This record gives sequence, structure tokens and C-alpha cells, in this order.
Amino acid sequence: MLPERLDPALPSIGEDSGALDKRLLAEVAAKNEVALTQLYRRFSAPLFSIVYHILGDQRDTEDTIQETFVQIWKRAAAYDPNRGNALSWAVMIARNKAIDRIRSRQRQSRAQNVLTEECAHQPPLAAPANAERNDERARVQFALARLPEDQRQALELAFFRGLTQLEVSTELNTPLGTIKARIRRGLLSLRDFLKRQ
Amino acid sequence: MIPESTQELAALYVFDLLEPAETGAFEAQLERDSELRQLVTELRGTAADLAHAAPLQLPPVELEARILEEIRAEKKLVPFSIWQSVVPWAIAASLAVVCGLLFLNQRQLESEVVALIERNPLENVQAFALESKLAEAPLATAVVVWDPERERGVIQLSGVPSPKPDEDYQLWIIDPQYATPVDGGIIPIRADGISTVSFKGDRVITDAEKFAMSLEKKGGVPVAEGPIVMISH
Repeated sequence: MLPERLDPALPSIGEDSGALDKRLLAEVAAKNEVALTQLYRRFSAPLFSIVYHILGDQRDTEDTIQETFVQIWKRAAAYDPNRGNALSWAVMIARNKAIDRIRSRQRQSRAQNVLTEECAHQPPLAAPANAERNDERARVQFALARLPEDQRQALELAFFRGLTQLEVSTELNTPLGTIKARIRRGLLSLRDFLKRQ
Repeated sequence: MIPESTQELAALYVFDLLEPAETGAFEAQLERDSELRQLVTELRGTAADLAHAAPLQLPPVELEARILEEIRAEKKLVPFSIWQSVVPWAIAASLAVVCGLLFLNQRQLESEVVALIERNPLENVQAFALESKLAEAPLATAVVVWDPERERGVIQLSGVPSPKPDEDYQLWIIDPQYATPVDGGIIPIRADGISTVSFKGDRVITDAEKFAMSLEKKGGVPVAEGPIVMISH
């Protein structure tokens, strides 16, 4: 473990971004606050973006991001590099917390017998033309734009709105088996495309 | 070559779209199949890449300080004890064994419990023993195995009497961030007094400090009203 006086965000010679994230997470697991701060500065923008896209509410997004980083602080030791990179791990924590929050809202709304239209106001996934914020963003958006519309829709409903298989099927008025196949094909195509790039 | 049906399960798995029982069965398959593990790792990375498709939003500057403040407050809490680290694991392991012996007809739930325990390293599974407050069944027992990462758990009860027809047992998760316990759902009791049920809170759980079960009116209530019949320490 590095002593806290050293800045763990400084990459070693030849260290790539993924390796730095992994090292920071190891430092976080050892309860190094400086490392958590650096990890926050590296991860907070993408995590905040995805959670805001899911929830569409500033306050809820802030609370969810706070819960996410507290969980990262508590559970960093559980991160297994063999199961993906550190940012992917953090993204899935944040996304799952946001989806849970949506489901909780829906359950509470049902209990109060209030009709809601969750996330109906959300903007669609940004088109490649206006998405040059950074290389990674542009790369993923370009890959998404190449997917057939039906696959992209199924992925968006499943990933960003957290709908169940059955809810996606109902929303798109499409048989459940077809929805499962679209999610599979969409995700595999996306993986293959991103790998080739 | 991984069959399409299994690829489909893998895609649904990384989106957390499988039912709890399906998840348990799939994770058992994952344990045995390295090619499938590789696929899941890749798909998990791809799913996470979707985050880049969301329009960029920056957090407010004060959020960083709020997070640091919360984790500093956490540090001041009770230090980790041997009781917290070892005993819950022993209970969890015992539960897996008990599940195997007593619930041979509930293979899906068994596999879910076992997968939940196996997937997590020692320090990541929490187990809670609930003590009976039932005057008519003081020896009734309940054990909760809780996965903090996925925020879901499994409860197993034995010796708990069936509630009256107009009542239900309801599980509550006590998380200090909330003023009231979080609803964990209705716990059905079989005629023989033994039940194993998977559950999830209806709010985000950051710190499951305790679990309790109360006796409520049929169908459950949003906020606990009835008497506590089982509680962990």
C-alpha cells in the first residue's frame, strides 16, 4: 500500500489508464481517501451522465452517485479484475442503483395509486453527429448508431430504463422470445464492433 | 462454441434481467464453464460501455465533499470484529448445508443461496440470525443471507407458526440512512413452518444493519405497524 502522502493518481511510467484505475481501486480497498478522491475525479463524469440519463432528476442522481461511491469505498476489495475493468465495475454499480431507484419509485407510486410516466421526458441516446466529447464517447455512439433500430431500442429499454424482459416485450409490442434475441444480437454486435475498432 | 440460448442468458444476465432462480442456475453454470465466463466478462464490459452513449452531465462540485464526509463518518463507526467477520460466514455456510438437507424440493432456491455464497469472497456475504419474539414459538429461527453488492438476500425460517388468514409476515431491512425500515416483502410460511424466500428491499440499501419480521395485515403495509416477531441483533 502506498503511503497517503504520495499521490496515488500519478501513473507509473508506462502505466495505462485501466491499470491506474485498478491500482487506485486497490488503494481504496486499503481505505486510502486520496485514492478515492482521485477515482472520483476520474469516474464521476461518466457515472453521473449515465445515472442522470436513467433517472432524469438532478437530486436523485446526486444521491445515487453518493451511494455508488460509498459502496465503492466499502466494497473495493470485492472488485475482481478478471471480471472486467474498474470503470465497467463502477458503471454497473451505479446503473443498478439507479434502476433500483426507478423500481422503488414505481412501487411507491403504485402504492399511492398515482400514475407516473417514468423517464418519458428523457432525451434519446445522443446521435453520433453531436457526440464528439471524447474518443470513447464517439466510438460507442458510432457503434450504437450502426445497430439495427430494433436492437438499439431493446438495449436502451433494458439498460437505461431497467425494464424487465416482459416489460420490454410489452413496451415494444413484440414477442418475448424476439426481445431476448434482439438483446443478445445487439450486445454481441456491439461487442464485436467495439473490439474491431 | 456457446449455444445461442446460453448466449441469450449471458446477455440478459449482464443486464440483470434474469429472475433470481434463473440467476442462481446461470451462475452455477458460470462456475463450471470458463468460455462462458469469458463471454460474460466481455458482455459486461460492452454493457458498461453503453454508459458512454448517455449525454455528458457533470456532477456539482460539492458532491465530492459530501461523499468524503460520509465515508469519514463511516470510519468512526464500530470497528470490525471477529464476530462480524467469522460468525456470519459460519451461519451462511450452515444455511447452505441446511438448505441442502431440508429443501431438496427447492433446488432453484438452493442453487441461488449457494451461488450467492460462493460468488462472494468471505468478507462480502453477510448473515444474520433472527431471534424469535413469538411467545408461542420461542424456538423459531430465521437466518438471512444478504449480498450487499447486489442488495438482495435469502431468508430461511423454521418453526414459525402460520399467520391467521387475514395476516401476513412481512420482512423489514433496517438501514440507518432511512428513518423507517425498508420493506423486504411478504414472507409466506409453509404448513410445516419452514420457508426459504429470496427478497430485495423496495429502496436502495447501502447498509443492512438489521433485519426484522413483523406480523401485519394481509398483503403487507408500506410502513411497519404490527408487532415484531423476529429480529436480528
